[in-house]
Amino acid sequence: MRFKKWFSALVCGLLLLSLVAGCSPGQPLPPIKFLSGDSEVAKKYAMGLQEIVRKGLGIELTLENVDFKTRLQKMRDGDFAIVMAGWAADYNDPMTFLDMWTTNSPYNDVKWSNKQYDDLIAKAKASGDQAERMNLMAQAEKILLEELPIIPIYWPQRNYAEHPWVKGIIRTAIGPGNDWKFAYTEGRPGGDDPQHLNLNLGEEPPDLQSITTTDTVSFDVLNACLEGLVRLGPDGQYKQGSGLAESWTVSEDGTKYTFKLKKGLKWSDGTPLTAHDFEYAWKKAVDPRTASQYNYMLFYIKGAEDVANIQLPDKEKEPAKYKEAEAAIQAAMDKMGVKAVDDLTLEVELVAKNNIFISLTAFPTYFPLNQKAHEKWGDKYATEKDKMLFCGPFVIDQWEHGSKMVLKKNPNYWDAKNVKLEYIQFDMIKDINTPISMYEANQLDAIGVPGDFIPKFQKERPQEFHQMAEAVAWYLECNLNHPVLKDPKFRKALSMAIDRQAYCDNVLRNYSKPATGLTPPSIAGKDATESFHDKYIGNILPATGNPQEAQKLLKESLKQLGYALPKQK
Amino acid sequence: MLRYILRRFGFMVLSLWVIVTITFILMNVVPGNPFSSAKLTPQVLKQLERKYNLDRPKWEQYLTYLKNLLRFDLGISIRERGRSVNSIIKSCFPVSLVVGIEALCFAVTTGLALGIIAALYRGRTIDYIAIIIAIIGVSVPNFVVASTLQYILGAKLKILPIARWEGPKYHILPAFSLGLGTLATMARMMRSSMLEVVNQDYIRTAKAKGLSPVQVTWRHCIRNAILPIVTILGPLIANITTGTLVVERMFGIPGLGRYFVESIYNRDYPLIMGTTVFYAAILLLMTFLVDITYAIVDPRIRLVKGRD
Repeated sequence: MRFKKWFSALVCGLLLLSLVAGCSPGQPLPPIKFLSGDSEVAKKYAMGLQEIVRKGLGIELTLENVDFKTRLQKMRDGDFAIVMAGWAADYNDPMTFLDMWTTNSPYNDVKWSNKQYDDLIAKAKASGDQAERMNLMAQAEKILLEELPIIPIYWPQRNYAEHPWVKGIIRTAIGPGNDWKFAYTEGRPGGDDPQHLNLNLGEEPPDLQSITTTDTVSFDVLNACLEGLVRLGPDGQYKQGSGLAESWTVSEDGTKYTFKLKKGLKWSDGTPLTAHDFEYAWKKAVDPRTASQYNYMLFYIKGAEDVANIQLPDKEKEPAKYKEAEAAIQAAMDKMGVKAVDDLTLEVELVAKNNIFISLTAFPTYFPLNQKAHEKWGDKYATEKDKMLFCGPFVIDQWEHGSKMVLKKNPNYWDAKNVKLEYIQFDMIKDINTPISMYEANQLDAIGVPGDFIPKFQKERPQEFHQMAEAVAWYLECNLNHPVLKDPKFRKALSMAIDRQAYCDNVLRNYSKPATGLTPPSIAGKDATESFHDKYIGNILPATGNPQEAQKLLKESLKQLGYALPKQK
Repeated sequence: MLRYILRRFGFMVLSLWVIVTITFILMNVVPGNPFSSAKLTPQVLKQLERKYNLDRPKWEQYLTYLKNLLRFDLGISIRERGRSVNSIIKSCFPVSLVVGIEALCFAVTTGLALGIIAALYRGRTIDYIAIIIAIIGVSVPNFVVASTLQYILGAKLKILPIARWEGPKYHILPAFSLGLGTLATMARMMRSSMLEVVNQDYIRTAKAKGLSPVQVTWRHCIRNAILPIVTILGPLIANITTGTLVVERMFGIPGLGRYFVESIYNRDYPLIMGTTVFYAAILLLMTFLVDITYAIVDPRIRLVKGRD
């Protein structure tokens, strides 16, 4: 009891003290904790940014380096001031970067809320007119860039090398990173026969079950071994007949799609592949029992979100309730807007008209799944090569966990005559240096080039070194409850003070581009010919920073908040 | 003797239980969970926790784990979806074991020989060469050794493969890189141990009896000098045969090493527990075996331990 009294007296005293202190204009700036990764590279990047902020604003960020999972937890708990975070596009539309910052979005880590922004996004989602959508989204992004709950910093590039005899690998910035269907070699030393590629996956694919997988390694393998209704062509287009669907029609209002599958499609074991395999897969992907992280990719389909929202009780502890939930899931699934009318016809009903839906069907979560095989193997599905079925250009021929994987051409694939490679051999070497040595010894045909090796490749193998834009944005998330970061003016000062160009050139050194907006320029606008960023946003954030403006904003902000200016060193 | 063995065995089981419990607690105290990722919604997080029974109270999870452990069921990996921890250990441990044994054979034979020679020729050139090798082996990290060898023997001279895990040729560089450090430790320990023994009274006696120098070295010096080596051999075997992160990673060897570190990064709870329990069991078993060997080899220890 006595302790309690003492304690409350102490708290009261402290509160009073802090009140008094709050009134005086000279209160020192509270620490600004910058959360970042604990790898050597991440530490280097963090220290680089710390230096740039110190230079531009005269403020010292307090670094805290923790591992990835701890960082996510701390972000969730609000235990940070700023943190570097990245987002990779799920589809080729600015919406993939913008709708996550609406008030109720589960991805809005900073809990920013702006009514006007929410309305614009909702309008853009409901609109069927591409030009109007772009304008609405541009307005929204401009609000975001004015308020800066997140401060965009850079857009990364993919740096890779491939030998001159390698042809036809399609590299995409969205979804699977590589497509080997059209690849071949020409002029390989020692002969091209048999046609093959040696590549490094970098690690064991963590999950080859299409409906649950989330990582790019698994995506790449699945894209080679399975196929969706459409497949991205060498020309960057999703064309009728490019995938398992022969054709599709869209209803007048743009919400109903009818897909006609190709005739005679087969799984790798010879069983026919039908529209039912799509219906099963899409329903399984949103089933709460599956617990798929990418279930939201299917939320464009009518009723899909209702299935995913059903709460699942503990089966062993509450068997009766669990049964009820199962029945509810079944009922919700029956109402879901996907139906195999017959073996060749798949009808899909969307929540609203949507211009990106066709490209989504090329995403792994939308790949077909054979119910019989899937139920037979259960939780073990796709954990071994003989515990899964294939329907893409290749099948898995060998899979030695953690060591190597060999894909072999799939004779049952509908377009087998256009697949030139007989096999692809993958290593799973995680080390950075080893693959470089193997590439130089011609034991690997193509590799990703890490930052430190870029100058070496540019000098020694300029013809083999290539770059492409990724559809990824890296930004600082600001804790909007932090005493100074809660002020938009302060955030703007911080943004102005950061010389993004210098950060890319001197710290990252991997040809990343300074982010002058949020949506990366590689994301299309109204159609594939224009870039949303270039056409509708432009360079709103200064690439090289604006120290004078930053200092001015900082002074105003701190005066208003009642903090002293940091001493200039 | 039997009582001594039983007691040791009892301690072993007790230690294992303590390790399991501490690991379980630490694992749950570390922030983050197996599912946290940038694109995870609270709704799916709930579904995943339900699926893996992580929404149950911690004590219940702990008891379930112990119960399964008694049946040697280590659970299912979360990161490598659907693969059981047992099957991961079953497929990876033999690989690490093979590399480890190869490295050990190389390290122990060469290391001991170097140590003995250095001691016998103390202060001469050959001693200095042995010392230099030992210093290099201890101070140069194995990733430097490995990448240098990869570059020279693999990429430039093309005598040995750079990486991958196929035939016997692919074992040479990893075993060498892995063994070099141990070799150096062995050489240094053997040298100092030999030097200590050489000055003992019984060596003088042996020499005075008129035994040949070879017999003195072989029968009296080495047999006595090797005892401290036997002591460290237990933990060393456990350590080197359960895989190492760096060497396996650099040569693309599908061993167990990477799981010790990556499981923690991924917060793959069943795999963290599985690898830790497995390593602890091997380590304890090795120590147990060494203790027994010691008791057999050295009567002094048997007497002392037997009395209490």
